[in-house]
Amino acid sequence: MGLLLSHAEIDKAKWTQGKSLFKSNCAACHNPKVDGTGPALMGVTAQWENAGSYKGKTGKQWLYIWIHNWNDAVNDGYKFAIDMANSRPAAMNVFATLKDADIDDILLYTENPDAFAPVAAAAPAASATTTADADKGPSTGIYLFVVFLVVLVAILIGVTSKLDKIIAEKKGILQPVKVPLYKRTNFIVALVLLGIVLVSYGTVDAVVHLGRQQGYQPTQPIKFSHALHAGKHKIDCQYCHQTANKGKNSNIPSLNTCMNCHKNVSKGPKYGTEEIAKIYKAVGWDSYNQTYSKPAKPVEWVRIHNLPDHVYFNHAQHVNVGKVQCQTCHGPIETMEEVYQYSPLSMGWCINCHRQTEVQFASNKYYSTYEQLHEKLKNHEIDKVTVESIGGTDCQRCHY
Amino acid sequence: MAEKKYWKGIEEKEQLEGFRQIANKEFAEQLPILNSITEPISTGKSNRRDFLKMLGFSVTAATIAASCEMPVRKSIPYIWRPEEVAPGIANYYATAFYQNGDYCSVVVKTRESRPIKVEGNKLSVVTKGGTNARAQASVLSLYDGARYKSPKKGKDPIGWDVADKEIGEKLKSIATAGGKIVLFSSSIISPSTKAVIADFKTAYPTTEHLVYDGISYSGILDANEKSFGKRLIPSYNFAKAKVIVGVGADFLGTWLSPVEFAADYSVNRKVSKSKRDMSRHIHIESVPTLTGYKADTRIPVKPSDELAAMVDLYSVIVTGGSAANPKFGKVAEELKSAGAGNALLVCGSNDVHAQVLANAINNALGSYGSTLTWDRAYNTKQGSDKSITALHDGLNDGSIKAVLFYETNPAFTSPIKGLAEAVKKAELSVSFANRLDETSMVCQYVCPDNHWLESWNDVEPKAGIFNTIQPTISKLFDTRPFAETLLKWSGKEGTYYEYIQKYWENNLYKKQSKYNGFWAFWDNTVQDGEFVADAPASTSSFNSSSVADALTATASAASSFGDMQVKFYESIALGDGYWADNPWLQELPDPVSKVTWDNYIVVNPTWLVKNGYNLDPDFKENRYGVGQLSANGQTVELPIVGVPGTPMGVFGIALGYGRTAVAHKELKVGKNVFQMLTKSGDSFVNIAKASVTKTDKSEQLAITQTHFNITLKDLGGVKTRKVVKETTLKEYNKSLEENKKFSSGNEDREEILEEMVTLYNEHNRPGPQWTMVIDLNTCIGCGACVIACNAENNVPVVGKDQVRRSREMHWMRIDRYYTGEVDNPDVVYQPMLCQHCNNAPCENVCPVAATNHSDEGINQMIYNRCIGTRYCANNCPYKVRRFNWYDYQQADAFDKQYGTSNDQNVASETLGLHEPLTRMVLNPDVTVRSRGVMEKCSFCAQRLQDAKLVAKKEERPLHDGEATTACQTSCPTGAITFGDRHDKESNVAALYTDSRAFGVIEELHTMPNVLYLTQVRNRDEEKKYEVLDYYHQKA
Repeated sequence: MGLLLSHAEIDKAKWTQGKSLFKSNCAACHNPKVDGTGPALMGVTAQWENAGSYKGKTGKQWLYIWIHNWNDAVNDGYKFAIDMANSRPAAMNVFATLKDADIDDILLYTENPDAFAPVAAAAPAASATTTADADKGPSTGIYLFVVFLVVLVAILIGVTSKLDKIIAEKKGILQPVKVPLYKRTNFIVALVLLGIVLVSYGTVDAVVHLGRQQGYQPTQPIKFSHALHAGKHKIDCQYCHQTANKGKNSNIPSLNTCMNCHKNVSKGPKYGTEEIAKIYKAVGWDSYNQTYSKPAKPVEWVRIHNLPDHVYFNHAQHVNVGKVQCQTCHGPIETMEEVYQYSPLSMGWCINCHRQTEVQFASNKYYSTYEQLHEKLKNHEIDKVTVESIGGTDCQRCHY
Repeated sequence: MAEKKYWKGIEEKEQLEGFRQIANKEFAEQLPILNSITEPISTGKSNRRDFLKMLGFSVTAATIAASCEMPVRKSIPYIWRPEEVAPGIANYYATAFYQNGDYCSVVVKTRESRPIKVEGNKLSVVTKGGTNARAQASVLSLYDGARYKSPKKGKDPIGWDVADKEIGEKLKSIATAGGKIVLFSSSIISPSTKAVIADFKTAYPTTEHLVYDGISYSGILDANEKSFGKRLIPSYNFAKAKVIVGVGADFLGTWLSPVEFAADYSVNRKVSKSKRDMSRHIHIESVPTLTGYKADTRIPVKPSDELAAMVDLYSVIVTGGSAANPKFGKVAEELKSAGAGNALLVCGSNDVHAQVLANAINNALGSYGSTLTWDRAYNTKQGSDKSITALHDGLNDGSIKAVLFYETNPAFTSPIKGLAEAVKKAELSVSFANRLDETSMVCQYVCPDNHWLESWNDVEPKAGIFNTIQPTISKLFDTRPFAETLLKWSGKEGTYYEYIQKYWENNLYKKQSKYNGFWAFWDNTVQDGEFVADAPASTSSFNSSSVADALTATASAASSFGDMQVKFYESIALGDGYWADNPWLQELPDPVSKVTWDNYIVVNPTWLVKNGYNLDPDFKENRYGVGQLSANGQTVELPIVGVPGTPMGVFGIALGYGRTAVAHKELKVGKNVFQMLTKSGDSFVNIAKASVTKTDKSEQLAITQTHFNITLKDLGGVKTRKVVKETTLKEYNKSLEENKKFSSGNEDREEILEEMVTLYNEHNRPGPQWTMVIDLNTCIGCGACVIACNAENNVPVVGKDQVRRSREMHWMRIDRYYTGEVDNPDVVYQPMLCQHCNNAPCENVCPVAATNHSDEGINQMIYNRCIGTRYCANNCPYKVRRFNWYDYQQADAFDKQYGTSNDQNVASETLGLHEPLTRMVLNPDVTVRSRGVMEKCSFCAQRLQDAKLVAKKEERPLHDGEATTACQTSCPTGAITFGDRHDKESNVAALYTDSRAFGVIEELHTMPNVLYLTQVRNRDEEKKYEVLDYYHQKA
């Protein structure tokens, strides 16, 4: 009897139940198709069919015993069991409480992991260009209409002047010598002035944007997807960037953080094993022996958010104290396949936020010493306390 | 009472022409480049062309700069993030600083695992959270390019395996043949290291351990052995002393345990409404020291009279006779009248006999058991001057076959000539120095020790007080702890770390009952940094048998030095020369003379004039006449500097200068005078008979004395301009009794505050108002705060030539004001930093608003907005703004300007202040300023922000004392109080309204946020001691 069933024969409810049991009990070490800490599980039923009998049980019954407590068979010196136990460096947990029916469901899933796989892949993340669309000004139609009007006016002026000229000629009035437009002093002066204004404006505008990198989206050494981790799997930002809550820097996760999950997840949905293998290489992970025994070399990520040296920015102040969401500055990070710089990170942008954002004035006891402001709030002299009202736009808050 | 006049130097007192010229100028010298630009434009024909050239250049440069692409920056995370390291958050580790005889219990601040700042450990019972300049600066030595990077044989780097094998074999063959092995070191206070040395002695039984300290305490140790039968120094308890008499002992600056003494001394020097009593301090000394300058009464005498004073004090106090010198008689009466156990006599001489007399006097005064106690005797000084003689003789007669040098540099500090040559005669010579020094250069092998910030160790500075030393960074180079090297050579397995733990488990764990289990004890001790065991029981009785001899010997010594005498003193920055390779300390102005980067001959200013030297040196070139001083058959040529308070016929020269084995040419400054010390019995004393002849030469000196003068020129309408204020204890107490709002010496403040009227509304500031109050009475001018500020705020070192041009960058300077007679002036030390005026003159004149006022009362300086007009510096009445004339931290770091040493021996060791290694010392939270911008004290904005953030994260109000500045935490006497004066409970709020509080020249309506408390002298006018005239007549 085989468990391999065609799509139509599988009970979807049982399969789903099996999948969820697998995720909660087995997935830390096993993958249906790929070897991890534990071996791939697809085909284990067939393996146990050929595993002889233990305590008179064969096939699936014998597999139940193994899963409930594999140590028994090993302690009894049963050869298949000893070989199986030694086949991997890590020892398997015991699952004495799993019911046989549950195991059946799990096996139904592991033998047919793709039976009801979702068809739709993760939606492609929004790119930098799409967000820039929002900033587009009036539509082209209006521009065309304005041009049309200007041309119309020019034609009408031309027609009237021509008519004036004909009338004058008819009346015999003497016409002054015609100086072409481009030789007229007034015109040249106006043109030069216009030139100066335009060039100055352009220069100032360019200089103001010097060193700003909004939309900067460099290629990273590993194609890490925030859309997948933060978006689809909803991993909390601070699981990886722990120090955002504590200190000045929000840390780029060290590789041991990656390995918390990727010890077992060795294949991604988009790039397969290729990108995750780069982590293994960097951290020196020997996936067969499950040890960090190979030479390690840190990953050189390209830094996206660069502040000048003379700016002091502290993550904890904003994330922890100010309770500002990461997305306020970093944008819809959970949809970004590749991260780009969402905000301009200009001083104007910082100051603007400091002017508008309210501090946690009532809830954080630190501010209890600002008695004057508390009094004013009570008397409705002011309706809110922004960062600016407690000196948040002072130079030395960020420059020292 | 006539208005007191204060002056910073003799040139200001006499209003000399050179001084007036610089005092009237905004900056000491104009930029020469200005002439070449202004001339052609204003007078030349080709001004239009020049204009176009400059325009073209600027546009092109701007275009090129603008078209540059942004650099790609990398973010490289840890592979395994250490649990305790979070990027951007500092970690603090308790450890102990013990280098070259200086001890401080400290906490080291590390960022991303690199130490950047040393703070005092407040749990310490010895140093009580204070530090000194050397401890603060030692973090720079960690990143010194002159450190040895691996073991060396001659000039060639070798591996540790080779070194162990070769040296081990040689040691074995020498020991087997019965040859003598000498381990030569400075005082070792680590109990574990001492145990290691004992093990080494067992392995090589012919070993002898000789201890020698460059600045010797041999005299006092030998004297105590004679008087009490133990070669130790008892604990000096300044906090218990009501009358303190110092005789040639710079106990607040350099003598024995200055950080501890400064803390204890200040306990009785602080006066307030609730504590109206203060100790009385009389100081008898020759060459002025900061301790003498701080004394209530300073009696300037010749060096030999420091000995004569001991004889006089002895005859009055012990034998009840009379004094040959009536002044000393008066001092003796004051000591006697203090009452038993309230007096303390401190004698700084290295002469055994003088110290025996000091013991007898203290014994007669009843000091032992009260102000002097034996239970916590010092371990920090153990050296004997016999050691250096023994080493010198043994090497020369060939009886010493092998010599090992640890934490000592006798080739430089030896008072005996020719030690370096003698070392070369040894069969085996090994130095454990971790950076270049004279001794390691003549040794066959160098086996570099770790830097103290990289090591595990333990120390016992005083009996029963133990500190652990833990590493704050993994070792930077291929070095190995000294003790571990000895263990290896003794054939022992294991690391020194394990050895220390074993030692503590076997010996110290038993001495406590607080922790159950060794690991609890060890972990807690390492965390606190200190373990205080019960004081060892100690009784001692005074043995007077040696006193009679001592009396005759001292009396005859006192009369044997003649009319012209020289005293060699320890400089507060460099010690015995150990710190000469530290640029921070070289640039620290001497508290007495304000000279940087050099040693010199200290003389009386009047002597200068009498002997044909120019009192008014060329202030443009800062040239000082050079004199040739001869003493004990040696001569030295050094520039001569007049220092008020020096008696006539007395010369002083600082030890520790003239190091030659240093990495930079710029660090090779001054002359070595160790060989001019006089041998007296077994010890070498720092007094000598001298003669000085004038030379035609002159030398440039970088003296900051009159730099950044608070000008006292009359301004229309301003009546008084007071910089420092002082009073006497009697007057102060009188004004307290009368319940005056402004105490004696500060009465004029009432009027000043009344006259401060304004048309504007007061600024509405809801948050904290940062305020600093500095007690002039307890500031001793030691300079620890200056170095702490350097370390905290990335203040650059500029080099001697730049200091000479008034371009030192120190954010904090210590102004020293004289008043009274040149021969014996009164001195007030005043730390001067940005006063953060609430009505700041600098803010109004900045054309680009690069300096303005914050909500919290801080005068902010925004470097990236500054365009370098220097208007603010010109308009600052306190002269606390510093302009970056060069890119001091990078391209123009001083070693770049002047080149590195040409010495072949050191060329390969050279790394400069701009090198990545040295830049590791920079505080990552403070911007490194570049050329062309103004900078100044920020009230340590980064520390305030950090303290506020900690409170905000914990959602609680900021407590008083949490936000601190670097200068405040480094101060050994606690003279600086800082905090939020809106917090009514805070210390600073109370002091802000104290009757002694005043603002410097606040008549200008600057409304400073830094206030000072008046100096109070415990001296009645009638008690004032007249200057002895006979010095003038004789000289």
